[in-house]
Amino acid sequence: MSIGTLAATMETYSETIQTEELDLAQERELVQRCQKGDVDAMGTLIIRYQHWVYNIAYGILGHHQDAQDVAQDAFLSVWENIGKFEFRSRFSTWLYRIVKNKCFNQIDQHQRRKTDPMEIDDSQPWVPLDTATPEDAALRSEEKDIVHRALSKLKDDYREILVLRELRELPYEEISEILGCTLGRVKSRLHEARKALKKELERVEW
Amino acid sequence: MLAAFQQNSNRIKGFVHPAPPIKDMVMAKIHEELQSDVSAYLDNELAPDRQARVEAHLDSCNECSDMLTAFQENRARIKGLEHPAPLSIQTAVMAQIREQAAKTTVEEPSRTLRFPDLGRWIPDVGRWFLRPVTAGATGFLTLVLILGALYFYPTAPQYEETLDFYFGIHTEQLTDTPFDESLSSIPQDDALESDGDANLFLDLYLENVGN
Ligand SMILES: [Zn+2]
Repeated sequence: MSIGTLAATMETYSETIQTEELDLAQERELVQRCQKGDVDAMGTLIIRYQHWVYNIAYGILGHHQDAQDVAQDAFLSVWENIGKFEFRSRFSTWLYRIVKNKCFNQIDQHQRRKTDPMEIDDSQPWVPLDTATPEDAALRSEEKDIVHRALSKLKDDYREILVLRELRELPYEEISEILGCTLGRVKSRLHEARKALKKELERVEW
Repeated sequence: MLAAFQQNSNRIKGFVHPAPPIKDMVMAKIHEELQSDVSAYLDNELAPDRQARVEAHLDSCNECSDMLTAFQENRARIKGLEHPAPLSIQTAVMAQIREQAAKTTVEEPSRTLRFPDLGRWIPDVGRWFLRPVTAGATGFLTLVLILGALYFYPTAPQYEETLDFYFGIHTEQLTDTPFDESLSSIPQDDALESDGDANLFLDLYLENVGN
């Protein structure tokens, strides 16, 4: 059985990926309907954003099941807190901020779950490979595995900004809103993150 | 004199030593400064004049152009991690939301009466009670409190005892100072709602105090 069919038998994935941006008016209308308790509008938002929510979480966490849990949790949070959203930013910015926070909560929980406090090594970020399920293995080719391995060695801040920029391709301005920092900070952090990844990939491959 | 001048001139010449590699130092500084913008150059996030300066430097600096190439390749490799989201996210979340919504409509039929902007004026604790999940629980707790209050509210016999007590006091006061106006405001009128009760209290009073 090939890796592809193995993955396909384990989980159903959305066949048509809806990733093109909603325009601001459509987004606003959907959010307003959600604020009035319209469940179908929430369904539409999930369909439009689940791809990126899941992929951002997977990029940061490197673990299929955790990414799925975070994605579900993030959408439930959106539904419960949609009344608080005041259109001060794009909805997607607000959503990604929620996803990012949930990812780091998840990482904190993993860190805390390590029973022996002597085992915690702060210099090493959470390495997800030891907890990878067969499903993770199936989803990863050797190439993907190398990239994941290198990413998992980076500081959380670096992994996060690389996922937002390289994977999601967000502009600096939106990244600065999600991370709550200045444009200058985004620029320098991204540069440092790319240098760190370059170094890590060179190390992993040799 | 001349000899002294020549000696001093030689001394001054003695200070002169080969110039440091100023050009190299300046170039290194420029390289360092421009290299920090390679990332933003790749993202097209630089002002046009800066973008042009970085581009010119990339043509002449192998280190920076190698860095740019590596960044481009790594970007593609991260992009390669993208894959479709599992459908279970959508189904699981929607099932939970519909379940919540069904509960909310049973317990709170006029959900549309909630004002979305209300949240802006209420502190977080208040908003917590308005969340769909907690609104139900809040309603239930309020009901329990009201029922509890009604259940433990002073019952009829206790009420009579209290009135009895008041009646005794007031009657005493009235007999002592029958013309004191202020005493008429004491709620004895409320207490003596029927003549029957009044007579009963009067009898009790006369039995216990009057003699
Ligand atoms: Zn250079």
